[in-house]
Amino acid sequence: MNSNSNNNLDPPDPFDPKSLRIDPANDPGSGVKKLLLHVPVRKPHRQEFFRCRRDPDYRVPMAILELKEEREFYAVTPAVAADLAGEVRSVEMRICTSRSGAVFLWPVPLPAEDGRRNAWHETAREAAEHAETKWVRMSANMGAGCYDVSTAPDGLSDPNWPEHSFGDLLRLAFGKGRLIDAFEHPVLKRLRGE
Amino acid sequence: MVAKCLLTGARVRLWGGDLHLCPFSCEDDELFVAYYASAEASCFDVLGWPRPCRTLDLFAEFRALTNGGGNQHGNGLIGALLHFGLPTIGAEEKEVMRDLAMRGGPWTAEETTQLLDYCESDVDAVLRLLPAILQAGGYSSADFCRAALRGRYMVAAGAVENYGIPLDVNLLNRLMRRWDDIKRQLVRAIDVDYGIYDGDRFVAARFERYLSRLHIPWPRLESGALRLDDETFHQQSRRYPEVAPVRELRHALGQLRLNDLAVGIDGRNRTILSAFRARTGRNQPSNSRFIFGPSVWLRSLIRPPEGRGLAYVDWSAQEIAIAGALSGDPLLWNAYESGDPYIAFAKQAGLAPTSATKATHPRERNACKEIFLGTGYGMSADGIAQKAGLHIEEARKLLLLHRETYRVFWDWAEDNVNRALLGMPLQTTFGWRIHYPPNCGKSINPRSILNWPMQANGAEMMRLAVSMAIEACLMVCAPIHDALLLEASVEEIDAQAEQLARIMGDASELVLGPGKRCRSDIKIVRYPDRFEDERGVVMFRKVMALLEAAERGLP
Repeated sequence: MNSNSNNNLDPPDPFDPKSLRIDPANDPGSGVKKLLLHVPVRKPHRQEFFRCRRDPDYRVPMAILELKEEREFYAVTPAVAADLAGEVRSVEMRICTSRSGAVFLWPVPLPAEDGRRNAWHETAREAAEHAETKWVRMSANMGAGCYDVSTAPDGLSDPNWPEHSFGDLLRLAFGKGRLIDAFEHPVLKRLRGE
Repeated sequence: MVAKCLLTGARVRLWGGDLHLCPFSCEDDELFVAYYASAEASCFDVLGWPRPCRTLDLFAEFRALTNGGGNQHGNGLIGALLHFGLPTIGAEEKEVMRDLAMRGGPWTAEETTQLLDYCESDVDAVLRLLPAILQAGGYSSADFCRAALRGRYMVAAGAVENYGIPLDVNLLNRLMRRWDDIKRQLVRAIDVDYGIYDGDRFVAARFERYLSRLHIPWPRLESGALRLDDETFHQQSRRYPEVAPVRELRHALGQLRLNDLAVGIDGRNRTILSAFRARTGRNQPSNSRFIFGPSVWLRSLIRPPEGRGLAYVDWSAQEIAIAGALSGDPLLWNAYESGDPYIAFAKQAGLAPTSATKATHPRERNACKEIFLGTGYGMSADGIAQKAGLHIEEARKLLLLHRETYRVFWDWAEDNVNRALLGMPLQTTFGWRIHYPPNCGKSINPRSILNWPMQANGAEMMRLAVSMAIEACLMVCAPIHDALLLEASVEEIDAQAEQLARIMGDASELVLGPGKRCRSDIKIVRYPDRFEDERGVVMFRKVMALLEAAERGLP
């Protein structure tokens, strides 16, 4: 009993390495932040695992125009889109991130208004839905005419979403001349052969 | 020997026979202050004095304070004094006194006084330096205790340096006598398949023709000349095994000078460990004087004396353990804990099924291993592709998968690089630092910063393990990067190797944090067997065959 009470009274050894460890978990870090200056608009690459943000504030139905050769997407305002029926398509724009932290907007095709079914579009929408809760990889299956969707095993860390609002992300993607809000937009002129 | 008490100013000057008893207490309520304490500690051991319990080594502290930013005057005592603008004796005077001491006795009464005065001037210099270092370091009480851990290691290093590594001196002497013959024969024996030597001179143009004949692509310098450094040979040998013998031969002929090995009359290799010399805080012993230098075949000269055994105990995949534990990346730590981090990565990244093993997926495992090793050093996809024998696209994909799988680790690693680039210090879990102050004029290599935490925390692990092992009366003969060499009697070597492995596990947990331990592997050699490094076995056998032929007078 004596020895126990003596031990309790003994001051801790200041030279004990256990008490001297500097825990890196308490390190505040350098404070350096990467700036997000551009958000590409694209579909997920076939070799990347990605996630879609589940938050309903980070998705919006919209019309887009795609220049296939240039692989460029343009946002089209509803007023202009109404008169460009053959050129634009309706999508749900969603914010996504890859495992390596690349942030991008994915124009997920919406169901056709005439009710026609398209397996590519349907499987893409299903991939987006799965990607809300799991890391997903999507690759084209040409034989089956749809996307194959694979999910990563559980246990991978959740994505770090950018702090920007969805409006800011859309501005980063379409702000520099990528918004078609008038018939005089250079892209429409080009399509009209002017 | 001269010592002074910091509190009372009392002075002790002892010479020769007066040194049979230690004149001061070495208990844990005393602080022993020195500059490069391993020298004093080594001397204490020889004199049979107790080792100091608490040591503050101003050399280690000066290195910690100036690591990265550098100092103009070197890391010696004089350099440290000049760094702080403190008075010092001249380097020439110090040299003269050192020569006088090294000359050996007998010394005249006047020389004795001169030597004691010189010793006292060093003690006074340490006393002048102490407040300057304490002020510059701005030590908290915890920092001070961490400094004492560095001092504790310097004392243990003195013991390690004293023990030395047992060599087969008889064989070394035979090799030295015939070395010129053996070198010539080595060229003949190996070059017969290549035709690239002229006598014992390597001819680059002939080597180029050989490569062209065998369609072996070879990296070149900007000038267009072949890259002929050892690292290039090392990498190319892995991809094109047919060039490996050329590398071994070049190494043996170019860098190896057997006479440079520091061997005492008792047949043991002893050299200063040069603790804290590397930026990572690792030891940096002389490549030519230390038997664990780059010529790995030479390690076969290590042999325990009669009745003794040696144990080589090394931490397995130490860098991965450190990266996983300190970055807080649970996936990386899980990969380490699985026992085979390379196959674990293959599974985590979806390159191999969950049932995969080293035996079922050797190619995937090897590729993942190269990625692990390469990413630690910030190696490019091209470099990894060369090293692993992969197509560059495969290497790119694997690198991306590594980044995607171990995102937490990569965020931490990149933050360390940012910190260094901002002029902020990096530190280990026990306070060894590197700091490139803004405007220090040093260019920062992000690749070496990327790997610094792994190496520097590995060095902390090694220092703690050596300190604890020496204090547990284990005969540690040498630290070798992430391994320790232990000597004991043949009866005790197994038990002591296990004890050392436990100590190394404890040291790893101190560095990595509670519950996180680094595994270790044990390799034991008993007299009359010799130590072998598998990378040098073929070359050693070749050399032995040539030695025996030379001794029999055969051509």
